[in-house]
Amino acid sequence: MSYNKIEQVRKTKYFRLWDILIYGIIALIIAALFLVVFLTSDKSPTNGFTIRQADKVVFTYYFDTDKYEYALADGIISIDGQDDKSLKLTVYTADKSGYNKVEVDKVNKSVKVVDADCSLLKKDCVYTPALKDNSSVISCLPHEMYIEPLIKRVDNPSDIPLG
Amino acid sequence: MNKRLTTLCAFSLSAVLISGVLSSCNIGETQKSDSYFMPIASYSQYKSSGSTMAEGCGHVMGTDAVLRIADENNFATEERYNAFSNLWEEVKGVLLSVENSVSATIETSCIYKFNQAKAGSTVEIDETAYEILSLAKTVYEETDGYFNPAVYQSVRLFGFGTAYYKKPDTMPSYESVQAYKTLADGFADLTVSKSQDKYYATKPQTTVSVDGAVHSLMLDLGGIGKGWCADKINKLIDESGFKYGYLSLGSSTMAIKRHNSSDGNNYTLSVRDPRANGGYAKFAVKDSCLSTSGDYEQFYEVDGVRYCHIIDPTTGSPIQTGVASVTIVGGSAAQDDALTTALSAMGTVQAVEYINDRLSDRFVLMLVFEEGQGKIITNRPDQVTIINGAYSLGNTVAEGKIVLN
Repeated sequence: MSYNKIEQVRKTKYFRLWDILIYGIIALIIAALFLVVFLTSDKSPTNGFTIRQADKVVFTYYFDTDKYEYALADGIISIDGQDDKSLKLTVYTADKSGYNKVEVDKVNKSVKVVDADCSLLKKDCVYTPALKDNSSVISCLPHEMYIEPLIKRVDNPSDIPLG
Repeated sequence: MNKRLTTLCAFSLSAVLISGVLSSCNIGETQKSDSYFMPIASYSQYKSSGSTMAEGCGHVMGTDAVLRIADENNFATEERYNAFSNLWEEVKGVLLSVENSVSATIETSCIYKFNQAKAGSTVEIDETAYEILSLAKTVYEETDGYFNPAVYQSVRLFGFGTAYYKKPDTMPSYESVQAYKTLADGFADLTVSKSQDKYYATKPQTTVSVDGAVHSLMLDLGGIGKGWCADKINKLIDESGFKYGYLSLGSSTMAIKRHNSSDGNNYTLSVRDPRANGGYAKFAVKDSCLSTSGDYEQFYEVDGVRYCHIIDPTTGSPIQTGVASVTIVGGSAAQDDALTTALSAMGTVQAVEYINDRLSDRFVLMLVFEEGQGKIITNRPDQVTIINGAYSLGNTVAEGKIVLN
């Protein structure tokens, strides 16, 4: 297309109007999507969180009762220390070749990764802000470890109290 | 007029409810059965409820009974729902017949009559009582007497044995504890026999005197009786063709079938924490009978000492072994019922020896306290998920055997 042709097109009023309209519609859609994502994100404080390795939940913590659950035998979770204000634990990879050190702040009801030996030097999980509401997630891709808010405990009818 | 009629109806309903509650509050030594069953939903009610499970519930043998059954097609036809209805009728029949046979407090039961008989006398009992008593004798021998249904008077001495247990005004004297222990020891001499389709139980000759009154051996088969019911009902569920659901007797004795939609069709059972709200550990299970028992069901404290309804036959007093909860999964629910009591009385070391020697085919989960620290003991740690982080695993497993830390 020659330069003259482009200039001719630019001077065509009919085309400029539609040009503006299309850009406007795209801008509106982007704004709408931003508003939808922003307004519908759940910023309420989380009741707890789960630590997941790949598809398996390996640790669950409940802020309101200060209780946690983890599988006893697989050695993925090591409780390193706890007091009234904090709980420290280490999450090992399934083959025990790597770890993420996690610290729970019981007072502020938040959790963060404080150290990791992941192969990537960036250590994104360590620099991710503490998870304290239902819209956040902390992930460590090299270790396939994800800390996710416990948005709602599903009342699973397969759970039966015994005793 | 309508308002007056409504008021009249309300008063009448209240009177019926109050009289019902009062009549159920019989805390005397003897009573008639206060069992009841709620009517199950009709097929149309079930369909309109949107529920996926049919449920029958009631109160029998002093505990709540719940049967929940799911059908592969959500009871798409009334015929399948009628099958559940028939099953529920059979279940009620089993529960009531066992209660009327082995209750220690219902005047017409043969165990009540046995308890009232003189020392050394032979009493005719029915087939159900014969079978349950025979099983109790077997478990008594297998556990070296740690399961002993003849500790009934010791249970009552410490204020337990009814739904309305209470701490005695004064704690039992050493003499009375020893006297009732002597009677319980006589369970080894109790005999059961069968002759021409009739069944008999013969009391030992032993008598003791407590506060001027002469006593002979008395039995309470209620605990093992619940498990016996669960075994029977488990078979009934199988025979009716249902695969999904469970039976719960007081949430402590269960026949678990399969969950109709969970991962692996397992149910997840959370075992009650004896020292805190909620559960202390959980595990997945299906197609199994099980029982759990602990020092949290009925207890009181005196001068910092916990007294519970489980009697140690070797002392005649409530257990002080530190074993707070025992759960056994697999095998017969009746045996599991008896064995949870026996393991509680044995204490940690002896219980572990028993588990290693005789219960390797079952999943056993215990919570024991040593110097205030809760330890979880189990022969299948890979099946256990801890709920209360205050407790830790107190053993390893080597070649299928529990090795205490």
